[in-house]
Amino acid sequence: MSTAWHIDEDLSRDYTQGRIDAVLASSVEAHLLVCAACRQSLVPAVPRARLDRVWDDIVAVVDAPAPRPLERLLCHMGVREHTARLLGVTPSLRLGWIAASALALLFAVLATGETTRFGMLVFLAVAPTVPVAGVVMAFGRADPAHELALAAPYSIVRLALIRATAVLGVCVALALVTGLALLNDRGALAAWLLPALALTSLTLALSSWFEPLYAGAAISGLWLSGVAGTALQSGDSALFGSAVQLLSLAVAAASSFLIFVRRKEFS
Amino acid sequence: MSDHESWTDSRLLKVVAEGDRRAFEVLYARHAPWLVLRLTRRCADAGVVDDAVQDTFVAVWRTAHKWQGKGEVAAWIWGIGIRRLLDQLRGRSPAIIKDHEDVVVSAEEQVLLGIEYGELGTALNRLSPELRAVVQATVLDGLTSREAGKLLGIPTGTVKTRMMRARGLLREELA
Repeated sequence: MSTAWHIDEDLSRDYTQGRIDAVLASSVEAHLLVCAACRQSLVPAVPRARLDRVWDDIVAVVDAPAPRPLERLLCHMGVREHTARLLGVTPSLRLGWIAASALALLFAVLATGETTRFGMLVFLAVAPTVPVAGVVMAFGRADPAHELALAAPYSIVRLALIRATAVLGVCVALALVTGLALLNDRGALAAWLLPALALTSLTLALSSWFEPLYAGAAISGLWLSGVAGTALQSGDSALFGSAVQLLSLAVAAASSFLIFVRRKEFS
Repeated sequence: MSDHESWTDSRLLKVVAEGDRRAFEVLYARHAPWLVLRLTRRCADAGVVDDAVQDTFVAVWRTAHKWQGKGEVAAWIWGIGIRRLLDQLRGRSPAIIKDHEDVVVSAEEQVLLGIEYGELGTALNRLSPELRAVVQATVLDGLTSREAGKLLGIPTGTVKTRMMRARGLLREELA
């Protein structure tokens, strides 16, 4: 659409400096929407450096990798962007890993139906090791971005704790869902929670000395052989009585203390 | 590929939808300056304006495929830009705007082209600044009453009553 009048130099200067009244400014703006030549005449009024800076920011946003669904979900839930990114790239929060954990739990739960005596024990023994596996995969050498995490000016303990909490949360949710759906004994639903907390926190505490992968493997191995040994001797799930629950709580508390004391030793 | 410079806006926008970065750059060079100037008249904070312009062109890049090829590209960009400015002023993450595709040059804007010394211009100038701001936000910037209220920092109901009063006054002036 062509119009009779165009923005001349005086008008252009007055407009860009905000020195014209609202009606004239409105006319200028309405005209600008339809006249490419007048739009072009305004280009020099905006400093080149400012436009370049905004352009660089645009390119940075456009080129940024699209956030994963988990990251978007977390942002939606009010988690801060950088925390969401740290959680979103956690190997053990990927769909594949979560599916594998769910499958392991499912088999453990199914085992409870097989025999009356050892079945439940299988679930109670396996369930706490699932979050341990998830936690050791979440940081240390198992993390593909491990080197970056080491070099970044960000506390490794903080990273480990944020990720361990998320992994623990996911595992507990998974175990509760499978347990609620398939377990008959409601007591068993909760019996493994404190041992799980104890094992994961102990793994984290030991990670200040050893590679998390080895710490996790050692703890899980000890746990499983301990459960198996007790079960063979006494033959029931006495291991999940109140004494063990209290012991688990004590281990978890001691491990938390260790993590706090040795927070500078993580690397 | 330097012939992008000679392409029309709508042709550029069509290839931007296919991911043509060079076309996007040309589009930015053409439209960012006036957008900066026009937004500056609504918000004096250069940092906020820059953020709004940035958001606008990110939205242009991502939603170019939604442009239906009707009306002026500049008007479409303005529709996005003024709403991104509102988002910035509200301090919230940008909401998904569906209706900016419909922003085309309205009949009122066509009337305003070249009337600055005419009767309507005089009448508009006689309005109080409050009423004129409402006319500007709703008629010229193409905002809804609610959006205009957010831009001007007044309740939606006030925008509506001021617009009614402005309309009545203009009718009297021009009768």
